[in-house]
Amino acid sequence: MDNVVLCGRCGVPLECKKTEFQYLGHYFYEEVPRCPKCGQVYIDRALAEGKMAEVEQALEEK
Amino acid sequence: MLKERHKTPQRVVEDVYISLNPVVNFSDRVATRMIFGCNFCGSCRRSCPEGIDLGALFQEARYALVKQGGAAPVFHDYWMRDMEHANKDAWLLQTPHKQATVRRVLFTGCQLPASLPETTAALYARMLELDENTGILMGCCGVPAEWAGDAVRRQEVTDKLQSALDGMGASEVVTACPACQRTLMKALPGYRYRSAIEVLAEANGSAYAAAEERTWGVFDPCAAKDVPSMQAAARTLLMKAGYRTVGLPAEWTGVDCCGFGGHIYPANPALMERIAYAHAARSEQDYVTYCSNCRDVLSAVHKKSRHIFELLLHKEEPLTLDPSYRRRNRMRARKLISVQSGAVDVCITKVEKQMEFFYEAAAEQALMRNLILREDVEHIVTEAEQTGERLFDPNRSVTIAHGRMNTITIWVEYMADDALCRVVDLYCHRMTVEGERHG
Repeated sequence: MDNVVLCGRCGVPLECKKTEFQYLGHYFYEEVPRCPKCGQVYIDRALAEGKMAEVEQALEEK
Repeated sequence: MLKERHKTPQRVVEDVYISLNPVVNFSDRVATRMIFGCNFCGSCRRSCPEGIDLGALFQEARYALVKQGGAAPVFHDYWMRDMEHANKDAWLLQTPHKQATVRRVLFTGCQLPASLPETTAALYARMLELDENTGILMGCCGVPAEWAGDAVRRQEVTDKLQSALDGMGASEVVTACPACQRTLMKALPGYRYRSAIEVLAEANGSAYAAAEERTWGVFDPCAAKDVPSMQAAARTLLMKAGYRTVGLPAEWTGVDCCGFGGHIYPANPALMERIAYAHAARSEQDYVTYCSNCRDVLSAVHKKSRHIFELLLHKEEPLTLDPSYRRRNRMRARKLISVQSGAVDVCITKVEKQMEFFYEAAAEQALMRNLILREDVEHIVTEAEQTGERLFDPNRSVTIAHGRMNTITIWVEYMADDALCRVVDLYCHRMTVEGERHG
């Protein structure tokens, strides 16, 4: 299977789940892969350095 | 910076005012990145026919924004931690021959030892040759706290330095860094200040004979722009040593800082890079400067640059940008100075490592680009291996762990067995994930 990341503790594939993010007092939601058992989250590089970085920059000027 | 933004001073003042007094759902802190993008080099003040000092405005705005909680802590967190390292772990206060007091103190600052540990130790040795009644204070002047807009920590550093200087009975401070001199003169005006290059220039120049025939372009640091005696001393020293020097072309109209000042990098990395490249292109000549930050920033954009102390004291040290290695350099400078003075260095402790770490080139680049300490990465991996709280990507055969380190979440991709961890790559973000232990 392509692009499947496994939880190292539970051994199961991560599933996309609506997740709350916070930065500088602002809250918002995004679907990201999480372990269905323990909830461990995975943020990949594309998200961290793409959309998240854009939002961070915008909020730093709010 | 202002040139890129095409703003008049009046408009700048208005934007700063709006940023300090935002109206919810109506106006944003529009000037945030401008306020935290100022290098505090003084070029606006020097070039303004009305004497408007936008740097002073930006400095006050930083203090006000931080007080309001309106500034992103990530802009300065790295530098505050670095200042703490310089003023705690690497702090060195020493007098020669166990004297109780000294007449003068060499103040090294925090970045010179982090960039040039051997040169720092050699500089102190030279200062002792010139006047054996010289102590050394290796620490940070507090300008990172000023640039961070943190008035409380700014005052803490000032108090610590005053207590150290008074404890040594020193009346004269010899500064190795122009920015430290500018900062200390303002914060602690009760001492006599002289720059190390001026002290060296007054001494016999034959000790500094040039190692090779060479012409250098002299890059004056921004903190020396208002100090003609410092600029003259640098040229005198180089001439006495037998080097030829040329000034940089006078038609320059950009900022007078190499890009380092104000610690603008986390707020605006692209601006800092553009400034550095623009300075590098001003002359075909290799540069000599008398600020370790100028030397490092210009070297990082592939402009061959040396610190004047390297030339005069016959040292040539590599460029160290890796944040952890810079801290190790500081500890090395501390040890070198302690050993050459015959003092016992009490701060060196042996760290027992569970695992050896090897960083691939991409990971090393990411450490420098994101100002991440190896110690933090290794802590994250060690904890992930101990707790099992990690992910596995079977397609790339990498394990992935993450951890929150103050203001950033670091993601580490690695391959590990019991003894060795190969860090393949890493990246980070500033926001936190709610309901997740590591954020």
